[in-house]
This record gives sequence, structure tokens and C-alpha cells, in this order.
Amino acid sequence: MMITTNGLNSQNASSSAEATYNWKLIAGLKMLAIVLIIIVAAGVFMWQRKKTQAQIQQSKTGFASLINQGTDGAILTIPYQQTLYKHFGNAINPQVELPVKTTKGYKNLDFLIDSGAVVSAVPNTMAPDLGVNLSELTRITIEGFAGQKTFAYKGEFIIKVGNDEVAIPVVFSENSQASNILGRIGFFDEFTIEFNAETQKIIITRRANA
Amino acid sequence: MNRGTKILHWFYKLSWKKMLGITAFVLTIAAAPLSIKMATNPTRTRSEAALLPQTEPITKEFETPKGPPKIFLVDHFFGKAGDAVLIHGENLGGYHQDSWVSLAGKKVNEEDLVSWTGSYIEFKVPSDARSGTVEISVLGQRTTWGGMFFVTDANTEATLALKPTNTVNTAKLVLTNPQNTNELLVWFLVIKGEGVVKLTAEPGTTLTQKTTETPIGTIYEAQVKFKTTKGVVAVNLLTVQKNEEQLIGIARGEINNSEGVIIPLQADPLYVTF
Repeated sequence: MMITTNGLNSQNASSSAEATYNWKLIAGLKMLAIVLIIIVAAGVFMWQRKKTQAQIQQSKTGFASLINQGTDGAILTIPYQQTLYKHFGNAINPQVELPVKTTKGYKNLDFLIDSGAVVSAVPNTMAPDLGVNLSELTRITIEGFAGQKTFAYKGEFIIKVGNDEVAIPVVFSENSQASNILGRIGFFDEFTIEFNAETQKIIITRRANA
Repeated sequence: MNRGTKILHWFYKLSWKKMLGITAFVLTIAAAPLSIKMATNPTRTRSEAALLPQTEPITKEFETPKGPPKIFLVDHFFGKAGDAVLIHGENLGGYHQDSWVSLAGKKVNEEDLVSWTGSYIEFKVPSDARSGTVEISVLGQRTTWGGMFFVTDANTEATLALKPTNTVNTAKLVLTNPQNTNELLVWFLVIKGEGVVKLTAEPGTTLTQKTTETPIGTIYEAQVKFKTTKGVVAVNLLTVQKNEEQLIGIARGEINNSEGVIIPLQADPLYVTF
């Protein structure tokens, strides 16, 4: 009996040890499964994050290349001109001299680069030189700094920016004392204009797809 | 049973369903701060709405009239279809369904009204417009400009011009293509600068003049009688003398023949420094 009992005990002990081993194995597998799920989730998250960062990096590189193009691919570089104002001291004068096509060939004219102006403007006294008949152009009103209205005539003129010849919409202002202005339409949307305080230069670049 | 065994046992007892539930819960808790961080990150957006053209309203603010409307000037007094015209005045209010502008008796459509404030109205010469008087109605109160507005085209020949002479600050008022007219009414508006503008009749012409002060500047009205013969291309009417600072414009002009027929007229250039 003892032998039998011992044998049984031995068998019981063996199966008990096996059972303990089994539940521990199952518990371990469950823990492993949880860890694996967390690792997979973390992996997916990290992958997604890395992908986003790569995209950001790519877009930054894109901008950097555009910026580089602004300096390297410049078609016109103009040194800053300083003007001494009575009340303000020295200030940058964004003045640029550009050749304008007239009836007698190209003539250099000073323009103020003005991102605040919708359209480029020259005084109407320029019209005969440019071969423009104002009576054929549509008359519009343009608003000045203080909101006062002035009449102007919608036309177009040809200027040279670097070696590029471009036709730009212009208005011929009836204010004969008005300055020559390069405004947004046709100029700011065709060219990149960079005011570089480091180099003290205005750098004009043609738009990549222009 | 030690602590390690207890934890193992707890895992052993944990059903697969609960286990998945707990994992999902843990991941959700971990995802919450990440979601908050992502949501608070600056986002680069591109709104197409910003690219849509915005239509300027005809009237931004209605200025209640303090009296009957007045017209000081219709500027310019001529224009071709599509050209901008300004009516300068006061007590003009603003655009309203009971207010209108008419040219030669025909109301200007809303599409041709550009802006309407208490002090000016801007409109475009309608494509079917005819020369005539300019009248406005502000909430039922009507007024008409004393001058005539001319709708011009390529066939308009009579032109008034201020042509600088060799003498500083002096110009001649010249009428080209007078078309048998013999009388001119002209307004010179001093847009800028103080002082008196001196008008002198040219030989063979007679001059009557008066000066009027308006909120938009001093107006020198001149009535000139002159003679033209068939085939005359240009006739000198007046000598105009101003000072250095002044800027003068031809604000109104009407020519007529001996039968009182008014001939369409334009001015070129309108505002001059000489």
C-alpha cells in the first residue's frame, strides 16, 4: 500500500508540478501577449511619428531650397538705399531702377517697391513716352494713403527685371506728381522679393513656375 | 505564495477577454496625453476661403443726411462706357433702395454703382449711356448738377486742353475741333495750393468770370465768347496763370453754337501743373 500510496503520491506530486508549470506558462504567455500588444502599438506610434517628422523635414528642405533659390537664382540684386528722414532718421528706401520700354527704346526709371499697392502706377505724363493713348484706356479711381480718390487709367507696360522682359499691369495716375510704384499685381505674384537685412540688399528672383 | 507567484496567478486567472480589455484601456490612457499634445500643436492649414475675392459693398456705412443733398461737382464731366465718375457733394447718405443716380434721365444700375458715401458717389458710365444731366435722389430728395456730362467715344472730337507756354506757370486754354461753336463755359478747379488764378481773354474772345468757393476747392468759372470759321482746327481761348504750388484742373466744360446746341466735349489733360 505504502508503495502504492507512495507511487500515487509520487504521481500526484508529478501531476501537481505539471499543473503548476502549465498555469505559470499560461500566465507567462498572457503577460507576453500584453507586452507584445503594447510593443506593437508603440511601434506603430513610433513609425507614424517618424513618418510625420520625415514629412516635416521634407517640407523644411523644400522651403530651404526655395530660400536658397532666392539668393542663388537672383535675377536682380539691388543694394539698400538709405534715406534720412527729419523725424525718423535713416530708413531703407526700397527704390529700384528698372528699364521701361518706351517708344524710343528702354529708359531707366526709379520705382518704389510697394507691397501695399495693389497695382503698379506711374504718372499719366509718362503715357506719351510709352506710346499709350489714355483716352483708349478705362478710367478707374485709385485710393491714396489717406483714402482720397484719384483717377487713373488701366494699362500695361513692359519692364526689364534682370534680363527678363515682363509685361506688367499699370495704372497711369492723373496725379502728375505721383511716384513710380511697383505694386503687387504682375510683380509680387511673378517675382520673389527679398529684403535681406544681413546683406543690405533687395534680391529679386523669378517665381519657379512663372 | 510569494508576490511574484500572486501576480502570475492573477494573470493566469485573467480571461483573454479581460486581458484584451485591460490592454485597450492601458493604450487609451497612454494615447490621451498624446492626443492632447497633437491637438495643441500649431497646425498648418490653407483656407481656400481666403483666396476668394471679396466684393466691396457699395456703402459700408450709411451717413444720415443732415439736410438736402448737394452736388458740387461731377468729376470728370465726360467719360466713355466703363469709365469711373465721381459725384462730389454732401448729405448723400449712402446706397439705399430708395436712392438712385440718373444720367440723362436713365437710372444707373446697381452693377454700375461702385461706392456711395455721404460725400461722394462713384459710378461707372453704363454701356448704353447718353450725354445729359446727372441727377441724384437720396431717400426721395432730388438734386441735379448744373453741368452737363458727356458720354464720349472715338468720334468725340472737341477737346479742351491746357497747354503750357514758355512763361513759367502759364498755360493757354485751347479748344481743338471747335465744330462751329462760339461759346464756352469752363470751370477751373484749384485742387492744390493757395492764391489767385489769373484768367486773361485771348485776342478775339470775350471773357466773363466768377469765383466760387466749394468744400472741394475754389472754382473759377469762365464764360468765353469766340469766333470760329469753317476749317479751324484749334482756337486759343484764354491764358491761365497760376503760382508755383497750385494744381489746376478743368472741372467742367460746355461748348455750344449760336443756336444753343451743345457739342460733346472732353478735356486732356484734366489736371495739370505748368
